[in-house]
Amino acid sequence: MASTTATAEPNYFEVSKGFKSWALTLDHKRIGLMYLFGILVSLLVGGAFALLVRIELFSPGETITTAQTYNRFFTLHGAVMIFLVIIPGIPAALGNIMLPIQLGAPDVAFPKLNLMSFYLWCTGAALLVLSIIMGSIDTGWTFYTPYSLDPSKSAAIIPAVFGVFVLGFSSIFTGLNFLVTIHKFRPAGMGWFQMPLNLWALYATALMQVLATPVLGITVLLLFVEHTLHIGIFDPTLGGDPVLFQHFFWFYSHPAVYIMIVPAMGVVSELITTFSRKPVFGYRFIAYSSVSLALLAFLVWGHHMFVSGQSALANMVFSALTFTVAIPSAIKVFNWTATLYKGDIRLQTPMLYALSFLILFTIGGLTGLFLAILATDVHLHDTYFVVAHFHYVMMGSGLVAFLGALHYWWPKFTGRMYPERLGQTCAVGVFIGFNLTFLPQFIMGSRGMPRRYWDYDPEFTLFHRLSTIGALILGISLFVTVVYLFASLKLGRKAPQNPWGGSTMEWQAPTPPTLYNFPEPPVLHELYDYSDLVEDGDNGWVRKSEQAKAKAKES
Amino acid sequence: MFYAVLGLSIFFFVGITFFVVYFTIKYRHRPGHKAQPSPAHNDAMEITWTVIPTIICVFLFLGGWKGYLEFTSEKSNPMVIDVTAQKWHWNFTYPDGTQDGNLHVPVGQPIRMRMTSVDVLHSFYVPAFRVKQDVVPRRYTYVQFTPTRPGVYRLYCAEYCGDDHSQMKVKVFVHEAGGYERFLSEKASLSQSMSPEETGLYVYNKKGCVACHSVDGSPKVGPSWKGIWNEQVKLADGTTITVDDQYIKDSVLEPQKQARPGYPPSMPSFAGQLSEREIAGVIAYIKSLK
Repeated sequence: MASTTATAEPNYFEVSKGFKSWALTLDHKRIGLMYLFGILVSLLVGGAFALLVRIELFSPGETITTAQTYNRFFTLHGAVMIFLVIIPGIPAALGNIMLPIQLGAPDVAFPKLNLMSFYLWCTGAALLVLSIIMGSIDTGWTFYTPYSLDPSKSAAIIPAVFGVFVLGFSSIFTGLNFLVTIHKFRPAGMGWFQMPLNLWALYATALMQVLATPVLGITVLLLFVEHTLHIGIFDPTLGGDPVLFQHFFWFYSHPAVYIMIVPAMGVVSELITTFSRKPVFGYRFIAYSSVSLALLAFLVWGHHMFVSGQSALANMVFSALTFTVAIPSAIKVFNWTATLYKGDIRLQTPMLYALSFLILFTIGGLTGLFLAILATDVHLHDTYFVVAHFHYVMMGSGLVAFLGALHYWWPKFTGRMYPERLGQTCAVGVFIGFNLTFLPQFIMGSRGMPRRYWDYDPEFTLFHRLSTIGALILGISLFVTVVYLFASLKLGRKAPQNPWGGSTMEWQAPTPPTLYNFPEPPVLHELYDYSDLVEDGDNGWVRKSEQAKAKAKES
Repeated sequence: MFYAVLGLSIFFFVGITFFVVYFTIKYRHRPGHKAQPSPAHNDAMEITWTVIPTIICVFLFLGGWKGYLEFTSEKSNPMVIDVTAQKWHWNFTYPDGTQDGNLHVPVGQPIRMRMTSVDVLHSFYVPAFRVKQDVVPRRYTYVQFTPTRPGVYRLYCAEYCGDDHSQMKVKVFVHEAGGYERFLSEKASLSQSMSPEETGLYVYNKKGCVACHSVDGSPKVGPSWKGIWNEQVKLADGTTITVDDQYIKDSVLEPQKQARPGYPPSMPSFAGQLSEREIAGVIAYIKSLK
């Protein structure tokens, strides 16, 4: 497939032009870029809702809006961020672009399916927008029954659940595509344990997407049927069981948390090794822990329901199982920290994000213990403690890793460098803003501030204010980041082939890559071996051995 | 337990952060500094930091399970209070049949709440007692506690239930010896001394009518009560009916049977929740709203 003619082959931007060449493209990089664009726009929208929520909470009582509108804001914030930003963030956007290149492959296994996933994502997003026009959902992103069965709200809820259904298929198709690609497209010589850890993580994620998302599809479909045909599955007035919905919902939505965090762990593994110039410590443990998280994720859904009315026995079993996910997570954190040991650490933007991830994920993980322990969860459940905990995991870890990965691979797939100093500043801004937003929420939660409250008791005012100020810092940093990234497409310095000295295969592809990624078949070097790579000024990093070869040829 | 876990978490957090920061500073890139070789894995070390957290987790689980059993297992001779939750108020029925919108309990007495909801999920949450339990329609759930210190505490709804979720908070009064009985007798004499209109106003504010019905003609989820007495109103089936004693009573007990068009069918039946005296009060109150 890949032509082996000169390096002057046009890159994937130049190879064809015009609207149709993008709308009907089968190139994984173009599809990934379109996803990325959609996700960044959704991020700004979801972020705007978050800021509206935080501004409303600046003071007790009505600050800028009524309780009804506030309930819509937090629902939309959750739905947009989860279904449109974090779940597709790393796999569908960055994974799509980088997975084949990291494999040294020309594309994913099913390019047409890939394009279809993208259009399903667009359809799902459009349905969510439609539901906003139809009056907007105010059920929380969780759609708990029987609240979500209110017939007067059907007009908004039906398009929203249908949108989630369609987004689910987008996710399933992407997962399927990645599974097959990783199985079939590994180059000769790359066994499972020679794969970059990012691919292990994407593989584990894809496994969960394929196995868990159908349950979400069934759940929202049942909700849809309940709305239209009133068959009495969840509706207590028809003899249904509203708590059954929670079981169905969390059977997907707990693995969904790992769909968000496992790929984040994958990219962080790449970032930490590259920027400390050291092989990942305990490669096999990290690889296995990704897969074990993917499997254990299916066994712990009941820990969202300790006070829902499920039996004490179920609570005991789910509490015990929940601790099993703590262990692979702990192993990873220890191994990443050990990777830094005796390294040569460069604090460029992607690495700043990776180190932020390490600290934020540690906080997110440790606070999870309080929620896994039955005796403490009863008090903390549905309070701000939970809100803070899952933001540390999903945003502090998931989104921060996404940003790190975005900066890391940005030069490769756009061909331009982002402004480094500004990037570092924003990364620090994100870290400070994030902690200022969510640390006070732990304190509020442990003192009994329930979540999803439009109004609150005056004693919590100080904490809410700190949190709102933090959110503004965070919002500004993210906004500036999106702006400078887009600006760098025009103004950025041209990126060299290997700006960070990465050892994996994507850094052998031209910058930006050609249509089929590699004009010449890439060479498989030893994974995470940095001894051959040296810095060469503006040319980025080059391999000593190849430099020598080129010199020998010249002379 | 909470503080033990907090201590443990702080220990690990400080440990990990220390190493991250220390390594980052010690091995930062600077001229002349190169990465030094070190083993890429160390089975003994990795197994150690797998096994130690595992052991800690076992203890955390056992501690949490034990604490949970302590407060969920049935106490001897509890006082049973019935709880009805609905958008957006609580109704507590005491053993002698007295009802109130706030929770009153005697200090030192084990309490067992038998709870159900008439509409959506709610959750009974008293932060000071460290108890929380969802309240589910068509099902009883239970929560138990023994108040140990007299005082006034907050009771929140902790499961999202719509517009006024954050207003669904009331007070818990933990009475000293004799105080609970005084509350019951005051409550009884208060309801005896109220005129029917006053009883109606009281029911309107305390039993949740206020959430959906206005008394000044302004639109809410349900029809306003102002000026409807003796008026002809259209029903969903096209017929008309006069708003009289019988219609009001029927609407309280079976709201959807003769519903007016244009309003969502979200009102639950109040059968069993209001006494005859209270229904008569509501009728008298509506009559007074000219």
